[in-house]
Amino acid sequence: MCSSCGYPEVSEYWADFPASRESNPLRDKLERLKKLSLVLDRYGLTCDDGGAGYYLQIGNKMGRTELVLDLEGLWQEAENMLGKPIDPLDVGFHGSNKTRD
Amino acid sequence: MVVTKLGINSLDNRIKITIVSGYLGAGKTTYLQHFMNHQVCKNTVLLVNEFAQDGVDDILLSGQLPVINISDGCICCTKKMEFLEYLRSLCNRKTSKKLGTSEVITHLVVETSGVSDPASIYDGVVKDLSLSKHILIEKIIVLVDSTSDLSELKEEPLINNQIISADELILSKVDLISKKKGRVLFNFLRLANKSAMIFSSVKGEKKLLRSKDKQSVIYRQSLGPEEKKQLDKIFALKIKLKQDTNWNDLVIWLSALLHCHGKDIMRVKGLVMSPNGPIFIQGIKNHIQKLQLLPEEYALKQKYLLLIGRNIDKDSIKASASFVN
Repeated sequence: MCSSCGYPEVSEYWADFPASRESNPLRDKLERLKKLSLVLDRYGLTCDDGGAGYYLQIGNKMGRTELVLDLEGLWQEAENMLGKPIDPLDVGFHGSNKTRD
Repeated sequence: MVVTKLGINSLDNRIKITIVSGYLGAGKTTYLQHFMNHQVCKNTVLLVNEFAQDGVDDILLSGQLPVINISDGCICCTKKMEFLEYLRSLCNRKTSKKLGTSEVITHLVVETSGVSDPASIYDGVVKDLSLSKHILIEKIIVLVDSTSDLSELKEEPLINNQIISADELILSKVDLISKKKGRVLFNFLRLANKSAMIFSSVKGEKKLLRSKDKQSVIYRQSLGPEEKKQLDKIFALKIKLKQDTNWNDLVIWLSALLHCHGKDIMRVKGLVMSPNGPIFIQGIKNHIQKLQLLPEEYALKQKYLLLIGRNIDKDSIKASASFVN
């Protein structure tokens, strides 16, 4: 995140495809953060903005936090914290999206 | 509404790579010689990777195409750095000057060594941040020697990996086998790779093979229980997406799926709607190539995700996709 304007850093990750002129990268990121939080909450994990230089911060509600550069990093850290990878084939993962507003 | 004939990669300015792979002696060189002699290949370079030491180091002009040689090792491992350096020079357009042409190179055909895994080559390009912006791996063609024993094709893991990751499978040298063997091989390939186009070839000239599903079903009945089990583990699943599928939902789901199951998902292909317009997703295992926008008419087409892999239950993927749909 730029320390001046707060806009997210340009990422090289495939899913962070350059925003169009009409889109608002900050708003897009906040939306993604919100959705990620809903998913991670089911596993007892938290997800926040990563601050300057990082994409996201993941935490385990017991004080441990890690900064990640992209979604792949997020899933890897989640796996490190939980001892096994978060699996979208689990009902706990895909069921969580039914509570979206 | 008139839909133009713009190809799926027509707005993509990256250098397009076609990988031509296949086990030792499968007929890659014969296929490429035929290809070069019969196709107009503008702005195309051929790169030949030879495992053996005695490759030619010079740049040769063969037919219409300049040919580069990397020998004494495979570009998926020992010669990977050299290969990536060559790709970088291609992107820098220095190679055009070296080849004495002012034409910009837009296509690269890579003939791999007989023992390389196309997925590893793919890996090297996609993971490299600067290369992934300038290079698109467009197609993987795998030649299969029809004169091999079927047991060899089934048991050799490298051959299996090549077959499963192919976009096009070519059964070579079919003039040397019986029609019956041809049918058996076709059915085996079809069961092993449910989405590839399958061709036969004679001296490098290819012909598309079609077969009714019934034939594959009958073939499958003839297999032993172990074999049936192995082949049944392979799946190809096309998930139709709603027009208003949320991009973030898709990205979250797909990235988590590839992180958890990446080693079992051989290919990902999809036509999806992003906030910027229609895009084509293409990847092998957990490496998705950098995305590019498609021509606007693709916004009207049915959106989908195609997952090809093994050892994962199709129904649980379908259920899981409710996250996105």
